[in-house]
Amino acid sequence: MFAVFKREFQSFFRNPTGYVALALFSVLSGFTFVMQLSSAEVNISSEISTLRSFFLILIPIITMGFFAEDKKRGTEILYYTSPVSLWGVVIGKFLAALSLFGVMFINVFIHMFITGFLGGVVDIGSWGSVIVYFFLAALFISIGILASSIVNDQLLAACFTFVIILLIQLTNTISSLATAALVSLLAVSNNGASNDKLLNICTKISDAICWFDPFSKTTNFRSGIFSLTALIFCLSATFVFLFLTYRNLEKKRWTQK
Amino acid sequence: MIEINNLVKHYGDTKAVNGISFNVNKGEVLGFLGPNGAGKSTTMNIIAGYLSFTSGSVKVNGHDVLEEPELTKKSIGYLPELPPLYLDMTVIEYLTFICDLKKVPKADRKEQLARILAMVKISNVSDRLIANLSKGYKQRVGIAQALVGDPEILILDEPTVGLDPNQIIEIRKLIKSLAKNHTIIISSHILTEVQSVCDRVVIINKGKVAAVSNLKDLSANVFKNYKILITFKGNLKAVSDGLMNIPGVTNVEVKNSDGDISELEISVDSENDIRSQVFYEMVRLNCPILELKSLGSSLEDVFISITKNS
Amino acid sequence: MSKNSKKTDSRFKSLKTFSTVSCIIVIAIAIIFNVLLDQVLAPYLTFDLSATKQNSITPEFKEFVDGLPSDTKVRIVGLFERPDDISGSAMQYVIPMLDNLVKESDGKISVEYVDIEKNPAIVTELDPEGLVNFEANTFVLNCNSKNFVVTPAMCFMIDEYYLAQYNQIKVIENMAQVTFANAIANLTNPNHAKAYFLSGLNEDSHEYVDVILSSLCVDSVNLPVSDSFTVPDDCEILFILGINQDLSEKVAFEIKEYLQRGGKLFVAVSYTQDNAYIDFKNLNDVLHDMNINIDPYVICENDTSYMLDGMGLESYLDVTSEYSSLLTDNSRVRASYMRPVREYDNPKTYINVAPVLQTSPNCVVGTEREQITANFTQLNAGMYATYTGMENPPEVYVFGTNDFTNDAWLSQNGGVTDPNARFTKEVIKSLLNVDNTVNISSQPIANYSLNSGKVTANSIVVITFFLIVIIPLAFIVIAAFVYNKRKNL
Repeated sequence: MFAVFKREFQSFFRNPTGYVALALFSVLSGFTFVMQLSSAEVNISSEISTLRSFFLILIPIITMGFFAEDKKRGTEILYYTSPVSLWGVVIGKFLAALSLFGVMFINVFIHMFITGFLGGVVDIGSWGSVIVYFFLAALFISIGILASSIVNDQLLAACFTFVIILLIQLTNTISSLATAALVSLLAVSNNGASNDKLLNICTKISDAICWFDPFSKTTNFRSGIFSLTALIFCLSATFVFLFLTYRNLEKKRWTQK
Repeated sequence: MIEINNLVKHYGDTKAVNGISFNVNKGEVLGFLGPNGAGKSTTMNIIAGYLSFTSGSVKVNGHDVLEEPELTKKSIGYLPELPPLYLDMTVIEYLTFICDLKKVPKADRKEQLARILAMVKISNVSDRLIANLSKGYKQRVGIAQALVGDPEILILDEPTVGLDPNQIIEIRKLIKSLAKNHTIIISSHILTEVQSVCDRVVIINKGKVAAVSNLKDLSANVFKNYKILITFKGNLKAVSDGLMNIPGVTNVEVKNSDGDISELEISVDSENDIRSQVFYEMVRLNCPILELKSLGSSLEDVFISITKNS
Repeated sequence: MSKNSKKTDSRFKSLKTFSTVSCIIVIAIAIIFNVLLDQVLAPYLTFDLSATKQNSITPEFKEFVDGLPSDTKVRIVGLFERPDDISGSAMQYVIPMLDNLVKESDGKISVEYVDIEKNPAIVTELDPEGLVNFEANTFVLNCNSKNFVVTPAMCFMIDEYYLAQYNQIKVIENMAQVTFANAIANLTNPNHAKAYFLSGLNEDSHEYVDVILSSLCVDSVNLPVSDSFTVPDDCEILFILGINQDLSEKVAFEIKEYLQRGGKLFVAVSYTQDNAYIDFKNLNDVLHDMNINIDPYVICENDTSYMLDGMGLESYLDVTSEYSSLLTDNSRVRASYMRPVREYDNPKTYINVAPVLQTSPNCVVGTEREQITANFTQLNAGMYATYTGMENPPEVYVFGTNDFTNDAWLSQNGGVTDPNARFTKEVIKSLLNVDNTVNISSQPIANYSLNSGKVTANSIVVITFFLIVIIPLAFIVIAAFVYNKRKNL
């Protein structure tokens, strides 16, 4: 596990990729921070929640090559024929990506320092946002890794990850749209007569979909309310995606030519 | 060292490997021969622990590859058909990573890497980027990778494919030097390669073992049925008759005739080498031999006949 | 062949089954585990570590909820879909608080979210008689088939100065708990006082006053003028707001009677297009009993620090020091087109009259056409009067402006959280005998302002340059350097 982690993490800094991601994050976070600074009011939590929307770009860039590239170069065979477990390989790559986020996040810590220096407030909500950011990053990285292990092509893996993260960010919008569509469909099939029971079911379904939304679960952290259940949700979702990745890799032993 | 027993591997309805059994003894170099798509790579992937299989058993040092994969993988160094190289690393970075991966103790690492670099003669490129190396060097780095962790067994899948003749010779030399203290399995579809480095060959075709033998046995088999090409100066009719009288000669065919000089192809069905008899006969007839060549004396014919028959 | 392959493929099949089943089991366990955690342990695994404890129920609120009868069932319905991202919106101070309220209430209070557009049936369900006007994005509290509407705007206070300076809303005070506590108190309190509004005199609407009254557990009833007009005995306060016609003599007589009984009266009349030439003779006749007179002129302010428009017709007003408790914070009330309210020459000495709202000393009065007074003087826009030495004396607040009670004005100026509206509420509270309001303090919002002394234009430029030029550029340079170096290795 450590071998894989070390290689993947160092590889970010052997290639321009890691530096480009760092530069990109610095510009984005710096800009968000400076915008707040110019209004003489800095809330680190809102900066971080803006930064969360850039997962959409950063995660695919970072994770797309993880397994897709290994498959293309034939290097994945190393992991199958070395005395390391595939689970360790998955975790190693996952931790490497997460650590890159840790390095990128130094920017935000600098912003926090500047805020404190200028007499602003870095309250518990800001630290809550930091924690949530990393848990969400972990969740999305695991999705990116899964995509990279399923799809053979890097670009395709990136697109796949992009779409899934987009869908998750829009969970609420989508579920309400889907409910609205379903309601109107039912209305049409019932000749315009709306049925309260069916309507109720639709709402329940939309609620159920929204239950999976990690953003709404963790939203209270920024006001300093820490909910362990939300973190456990993110952790277990991360675990599920990593487990699926592991299974998918293991599957190659008996399905691949 | 390695025992393969009735190994079967299906992909859906196709059987890539269909009941292969053979053993590899300690210290020997086994050639693994077969046309493309015969199941060589699949078998090697199975031994190396990359692929699972449908039925049968593969044991390395008495340990089953499915039940104790960590143990068997430790004793095997594997070079797949496509060397698993990270092009963005330098040779030394890459080999250090392999050390990490194969859990080579930190203390032994420096000494071991130095030994391997020297053995495969890549010390001079150790700080270069793998992407910038020639194909022959990349192949060496691949072999070096297989050597990391001091495995007793080396599995080399088509180690010379795609290399130029000089590089091929270099790699073969390297394999011969490795043979001194490793058990090696080499797959190839080129006979000369096997001929030059192997003690024993397993020939497989369409997922089945077509023949297992040591090189001597194969050669004997070859000498049973072969052809001789002879170019000489003298009377064509007399020579043909005279040659037909040699025991074992089944046919003499004129290939070429230009004035005094003629070329004949002699078909032989005998376990003995009759070339000396031909020489004496020609001396008797007072016809000087300009050229004498044994045709089909390589393994190719055997290979072709075996793979065709099965 | 197929038979054979089936038999020999058993390992493949078992691996496949194992793989699929293990995936399904892991997913199922993850979901079930999280659902259980969410349902059972969530309250115990949630910790409010914030300094201001914005969303935790305050001890006063908790005490109030605990004090409700155990069979109380208050249903809070948000007439919208529960949003996923509430950060930055007013809902961030409401939704989490309500979640906590439900947890703390021992089942007395429930919260649900129903989109009124998708599910209009909720209206008839909550309000079968159609008494309340429901709007999307508000909360409805329902208890004992009574409804109380809470709008998000009622849940916070904004910084007026910041709004004027930057034209941006900055929330400074979280009122959510106060508002909901008042609403619940209102719904659960059986002893409602009644306030009557004189109607039928072409008067302005007064919905915001209704809301204020409602938060004080007072029901609003219209009292139309007629030939058989009387003020009912249960009248706690009588409002005469924004009328554009004078009272009839009969009505004036009845109101005088009411005052003699110790009645409480709230009068607010502006100088408007519709009533500019009406001198309100009969209304003044009533007020003369309290030694107050409303003049048929408009106040014109000349002090620039009070003026809010070029004409001086809209301006700030000072609350006199005697009544400064009616405006609890430092905000200022203001009004436009005010009639001057002055002391009348009623000789009865037991009448006690005092100014409440005053202009600057630099005012003149006039009509729209001509200036009436020549010299600058200080005028009253609001006065209070009562009788001394009497048990249950009559009390009167008279305002020469309706901008403290008028819907049109309040809706454009922050509704019930506007300083004028809060002032009105305090006035009403002072007139009421019983105080049913729940005293729960609002919570200050964390202030993220920087130290203005340290944030200079220069320092911002330096920081900006460092953060979005130097750092990224450094990374790009390193990237180029590493790429170049390694490329040629």
